[in-house]
Amino acid sequence: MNVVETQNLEKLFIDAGTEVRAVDGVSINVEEGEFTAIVGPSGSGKTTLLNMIGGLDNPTKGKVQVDKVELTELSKNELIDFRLKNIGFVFQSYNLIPVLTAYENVEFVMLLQGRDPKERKARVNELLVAVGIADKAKNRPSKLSGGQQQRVAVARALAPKPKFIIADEPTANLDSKSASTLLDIMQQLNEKEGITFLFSTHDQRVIDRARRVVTLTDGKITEDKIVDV
Amino acid sequence: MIAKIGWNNIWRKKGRSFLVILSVAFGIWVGLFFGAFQWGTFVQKLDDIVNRELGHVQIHHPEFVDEEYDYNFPIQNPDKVRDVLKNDTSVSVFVERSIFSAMLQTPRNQSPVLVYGVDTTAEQQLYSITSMITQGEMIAGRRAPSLLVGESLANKLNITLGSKVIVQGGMLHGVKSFVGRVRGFYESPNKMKDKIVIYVHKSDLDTKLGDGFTHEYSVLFNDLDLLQSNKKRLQSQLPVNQVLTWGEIMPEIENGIEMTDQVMFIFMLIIWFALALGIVNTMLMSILERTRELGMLMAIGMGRWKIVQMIFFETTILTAIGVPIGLFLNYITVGYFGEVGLDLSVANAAIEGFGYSTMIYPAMKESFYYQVIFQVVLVSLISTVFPAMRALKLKPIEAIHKN
Repeated sequence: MNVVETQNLEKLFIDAGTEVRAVDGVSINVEEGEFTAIVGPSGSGKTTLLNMIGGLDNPTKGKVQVDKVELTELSKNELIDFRLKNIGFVFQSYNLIPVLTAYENVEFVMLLQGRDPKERKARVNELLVAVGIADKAKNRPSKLSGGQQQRVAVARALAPKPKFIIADEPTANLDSKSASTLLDIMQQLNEKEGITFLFSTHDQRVIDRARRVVTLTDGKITEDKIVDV
Repeated sequence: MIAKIGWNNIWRKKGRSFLVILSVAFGIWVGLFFGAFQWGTFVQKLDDIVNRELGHVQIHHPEFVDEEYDYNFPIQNPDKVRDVLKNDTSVSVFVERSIFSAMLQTPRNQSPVLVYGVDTTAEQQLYSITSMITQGEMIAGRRAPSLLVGESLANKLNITLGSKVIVQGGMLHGVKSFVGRVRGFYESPNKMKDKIVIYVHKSDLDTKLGDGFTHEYSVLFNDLDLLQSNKKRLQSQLPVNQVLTWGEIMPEIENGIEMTDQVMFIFMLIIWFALALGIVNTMLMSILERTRELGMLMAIGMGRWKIVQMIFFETTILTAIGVPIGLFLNYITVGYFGEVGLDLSVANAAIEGFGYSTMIYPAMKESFYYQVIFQVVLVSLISTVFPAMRALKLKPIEAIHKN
């Protein structure tokens, strides 16, 4: 079953009076349980494509469906609500809430969803264990390393049980060891729990782990291959 | 959790938060203090001039005031006036005086004066003339009437205790004069009055001048709020005389109070404007610094209304901390100056010009608290609207990538 479907997705920017086609007619389907990397050089349109799939940006043209819901037809508030319930985000620079602890950062999205306290507690503890950071639950982000922060970010993205997780260059700011640990965790979550991951990356370590690699060049898909792992 | 984020955000930049708290505290403090100052001034003026001297209303011959306190225009049918005032339950106190303009002459000097023929015992109901005496005394029944003269007038005319002076006025049957002896000096809070008013016992005056004229009834009511209706009623009962309120007799005092109100209103506007600028600036800085974080919150599904709630929560907390600090500062300063008084002798001349005391004792009214706190909270919340709007306009995708 497709979690994501895009049809002729286009995004135009005007940069210094010049029209730039960041994404140019991209049609892509992502099935449930995929561990897919969208790769390409800087400026190839990876992030722009993910932003449109994640409902953070509107396409200039084309359609994008997540779980059969056409995102371009949703209002701003409906989109916020849709993201809250269906999409998990992992950002390149972690973007945790600095004034909350690791535990509270993970719990926060569930609070926005209005989940009851028991469920939240159980889920947060389960996720913190899953990402190997349970002993740092009470630490604020400033007391965590980059790798630990990114693991908290992954736990936060997973907390509301989203349809899929968008990870924009998740390892870009991490050292090899931290990146490897993070990828191990995400891979395990994908394999054991069937969580769908969609990465944008040009990090070879991520590409090596991906089971599908979609290459974007100048906003167009130039290669889409299934990798035998 | 939103409250927790808001709360922790406040303490992220302590200096900035303290600035807002201090602004709010300062706004409350200054607002209340000046309210107290204004009210204290008003009460003082009322006490100095109205309660102690003019009365709430005065009754005269209809032409007495226009004729510049001429002796020839006494109260008409004073017995009826006395009866009406005695039987009116709204009247708390009334005194009768013989007042007229005159010339005080010493062998070498002279000066225009207002002669107040008073019954010192009756006047005690309004204020104690004897308590103003700085030297000497005021004894009734002497052959040469005892005069009580303001110290400043005495200095001006080089009068000493025991000096004989001539008081001469334009009287009903030609110019009459009497010789009095200065037996006391006084000093009142009203410096202007000290220069022109001399006191004499009304009984002595009646004996010397032989007419038994009364020129003025000064009346205090039980309830000042009913001044206008009381005045109307008295006027209808006493049509041959004229009833004037204190504001009509001395419009400059009423104008002075109104002018003070206006000055204070402008002053408060400036204070609120400064407070608003401070809050807008600080909250805007706070939001600009958190642009990426706010973008992330929107991206992961935090609704716009919740973002606004969070920002308003922060201002509300800062205001809630600032308000009691302001109240405390006000409590201390109004408490202190309410006891000790604020000496405005620096602006002595101008204040004396209005004829009242240079010592002001700030006083609080309960309504000030509600008014000022309401105004500060309102200004704080209104000031947050602009920063909140800025936050709402953020686009998550742009905000996340802001450095």
